[in-house]
Amino acid sequence: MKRTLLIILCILQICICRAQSTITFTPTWTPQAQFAGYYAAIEKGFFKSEGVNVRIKHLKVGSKKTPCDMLIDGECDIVCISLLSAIQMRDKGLKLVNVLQTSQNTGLMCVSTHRLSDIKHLNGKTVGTWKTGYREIAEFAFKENNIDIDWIPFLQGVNLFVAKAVDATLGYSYNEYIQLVMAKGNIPKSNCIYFSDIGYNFPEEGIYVTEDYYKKHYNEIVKFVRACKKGWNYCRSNPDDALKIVMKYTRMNNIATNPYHQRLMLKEVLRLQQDYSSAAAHKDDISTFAPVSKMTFGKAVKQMQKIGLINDEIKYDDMIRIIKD
Amino acid sequence: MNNIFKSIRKSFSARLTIFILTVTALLFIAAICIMAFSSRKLIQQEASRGAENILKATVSNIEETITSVESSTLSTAWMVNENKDNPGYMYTMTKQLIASNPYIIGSTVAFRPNFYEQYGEYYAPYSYKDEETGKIISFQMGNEDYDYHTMEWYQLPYLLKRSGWSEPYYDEGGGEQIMTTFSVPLQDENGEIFAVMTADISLKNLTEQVAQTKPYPNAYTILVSNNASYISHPIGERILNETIFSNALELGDTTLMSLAYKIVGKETGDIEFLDETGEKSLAIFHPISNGWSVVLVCPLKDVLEKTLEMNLILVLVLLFGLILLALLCWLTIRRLTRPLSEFCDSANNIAQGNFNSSLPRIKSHDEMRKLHDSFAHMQRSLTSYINELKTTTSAKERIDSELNIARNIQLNMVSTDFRENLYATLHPAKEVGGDLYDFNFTDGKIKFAIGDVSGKGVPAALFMAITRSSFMFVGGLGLTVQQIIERINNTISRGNKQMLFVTMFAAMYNPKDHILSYCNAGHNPIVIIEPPKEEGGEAHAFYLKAKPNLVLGLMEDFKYEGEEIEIAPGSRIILYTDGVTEAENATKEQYGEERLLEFARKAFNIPTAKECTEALLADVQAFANGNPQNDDITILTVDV
Repeated sequence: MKRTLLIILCILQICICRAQSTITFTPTWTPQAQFAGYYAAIEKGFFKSEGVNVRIKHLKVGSKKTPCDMLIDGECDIVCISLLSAIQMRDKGLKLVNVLQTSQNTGLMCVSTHRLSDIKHLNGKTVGTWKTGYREIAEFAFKENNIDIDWIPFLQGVNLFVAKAVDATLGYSYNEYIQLVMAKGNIPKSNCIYFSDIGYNFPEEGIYVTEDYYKKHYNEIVKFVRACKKGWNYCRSNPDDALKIVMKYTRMNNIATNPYHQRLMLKEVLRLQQDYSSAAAHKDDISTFAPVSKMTFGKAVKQMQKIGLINDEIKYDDMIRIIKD
Repeated sequence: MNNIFKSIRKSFSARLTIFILTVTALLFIAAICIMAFSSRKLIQQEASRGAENILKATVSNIEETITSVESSTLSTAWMVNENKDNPGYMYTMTKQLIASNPYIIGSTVAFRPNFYEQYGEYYAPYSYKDEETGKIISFQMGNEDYDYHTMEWYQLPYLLKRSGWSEPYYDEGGGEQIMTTFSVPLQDENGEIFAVMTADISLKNLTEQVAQTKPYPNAYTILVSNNASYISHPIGERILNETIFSNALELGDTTLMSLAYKIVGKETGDIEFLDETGEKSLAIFHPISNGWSVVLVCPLKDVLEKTLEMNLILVLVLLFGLILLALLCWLTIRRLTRPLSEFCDSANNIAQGNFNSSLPRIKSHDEMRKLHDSFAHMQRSLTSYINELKTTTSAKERIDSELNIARNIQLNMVSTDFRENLYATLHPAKEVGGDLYDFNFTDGKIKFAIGDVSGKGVPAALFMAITRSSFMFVGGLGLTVQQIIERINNTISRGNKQMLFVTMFAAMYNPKDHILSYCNAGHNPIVIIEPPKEEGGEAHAFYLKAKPNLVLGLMEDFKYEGEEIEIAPGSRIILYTDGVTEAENATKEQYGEERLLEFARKAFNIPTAKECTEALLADVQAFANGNPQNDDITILTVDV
């Protein structure tokens, strides 16, 4: 009798596990505070309480592969990439849909070895950039202003810039800028241009899945999104604890970083998640996780078409899925 | 404790010892502080120099490694150019490089994309020394997952067109460990870079060398990269994860920031700063030729340990010295001041009247000898003085006794045979006085006089006696007051070599015609109080106007003028000497004629002459309020 019961219990367990198949999520970069919300969702059990099993699979250091490459190869189910990268990928044929917009602003910036009052000063200069992309907004700005850039792709970090092997480098305000400060002590603001300050403030990171996956796993996606939001909200409310979680992930993956860097990164990432444009309209309501607006989406598509980054017009309704709590 | 303080307060030697000790201790402490400060500075400078030399030796060792790796790599690199048509030979070369230099644990020749068409985008033959077996293993490491073209060790020499050292990195695709790589760009005949040759060094070897640089027990040495990253640090977790700037920014430490700027600026020097535990430390930094810096951190506690030891010894010596000094001071001062106690006993004996009390024996010729001599002199003086005092006291007692007798005699000389309508009183300021009065009743008339001899005391008393005797004699001869005065004047003027004189007012009242005959010889005007003219009215008091004439005793045969006045029956006459009007209170205010007249106005109602006399005397004494009497007071009241 006991034996029969044990067998039944094992079968039930297997069925439950099948029902809760593991979702593999790949964020834009190697482990860092940029993805604190997702780590918190795992560590604090938000995914688990929603009934989804999530595994985070980061990019391999040194690899050429992007999150979309991994999605195509079936190495992951859900990715975290920028809006413009997603539009570009959709144009290339990968039917991505946005299920959550996390970052409402871009932290992309350009840091020069010399004073930089206008991006036109970068014409003909060597500018370091990530080999995995993420430079669409910069390309907008440079192409619109007819600036010819000699792109120098790098794996990561700021060593090329510090060694003065490049004239300038692209970087994010939450990562490379802090790394530069840590390497040089101080980076004059006059040497930096924030793309959000010169009219190129597009929403950055969002959660994307393929259309096909969306249709098949809608319920899991809804749960995934809800847990992600909980994770980010937890980071906002408990930054010290969030930092500990982030440090755990960086140490597990042998990432060269330190709490000072990650604390500043988390602070900046959370700042970029605030929708300041809506705050201007409704001063008391700085909302987060606002879906990409049709206007912003349309503007991005139009500009990308204009400079040849995409060929077809990508439609808002095809790409943006608003998942309500 | 209170008893100790009390005994210290009472003991001169204890107080002097404490004073000397305090001053000496302060001087010692000041000297020790100056010495400690100077020695600290010197020792710190010396330690800094010593540590710098040790640091230079470490730098030299690192340089040796670096130079060795650089020259081995550069000497092998030219062979790549020679053999670039033989891609397989690259394995051999990288193996040879590793075998030729013990520091090199890995090497590659990484070619630019598609340099060899047959190998495509990636061709990087890599060899490394297996730690366990010591064998050199080779493989081609470039692939999509190890895209070396975007890696720093490849890009820096490629872009900068010069050889150099990479930032330390965790090489996941290569040696699977933290390494730093020396990269040499390889150029073809046209000057184009076609490959980068590298030599990897394990940081383990370097950090071991650095960690051995430990001149003090708690000192440590760190190695900092171009990007201010820690390459070697006693806290292993910081290596490659933190930079000296991130540390300083996190701590908000401006000194550490300034140190970081100096290090990154490839400066040589030293700086004092507070380490993370809050301990003051000395950081000595020196750059290395590849752009890194070695920083030797020595806790000042360690550096200055010798100073502390020296200071401790100094403090102990000071304490011992002070204790010895205290003992010596106390004994010496006690020995020196012992005669003072004996002098004190002698002084007490002398105070008790034993003027011949023995004094301590003083052999020295210092202030104590002077004190001894002064004491001896004082003893002699006191004995002499006391003897003189005894003589003087006995003489004084005799004089006092004689004066008392004289006083009684004098007071007995004045008439005391008063009537109801006449009363007088005499109060000498000293034992004997110069005031006098007299009266008699002859032929139904009342004769009365009052006088005041110039001066006071015995001479005035004797002169008063002569004057009074004259008045007694002359007054009974039935002469007019004018004649009486002239006779007295002639009597006392003769032989008056002392030029004493007497003021006198003599009067005679005839009740029949109510005429008052009088003659004034320079005396105060007398007061007459007339009864009210009508019942219930007020009495009328006034000073009698009299020609002053001349005082008695100065000029023989002087012609005095007499005067007369009719006064109302029932009037009262008050005669007085200047002791009444010139009586003073504590504020030197005089009783005065106005106050006397005021008294007189009220005095009419006093029933008898005696009561009136006593009331005036009481009024004067009340006014003086205990102030010593300066002059004789005499009052004579006559009711007519």
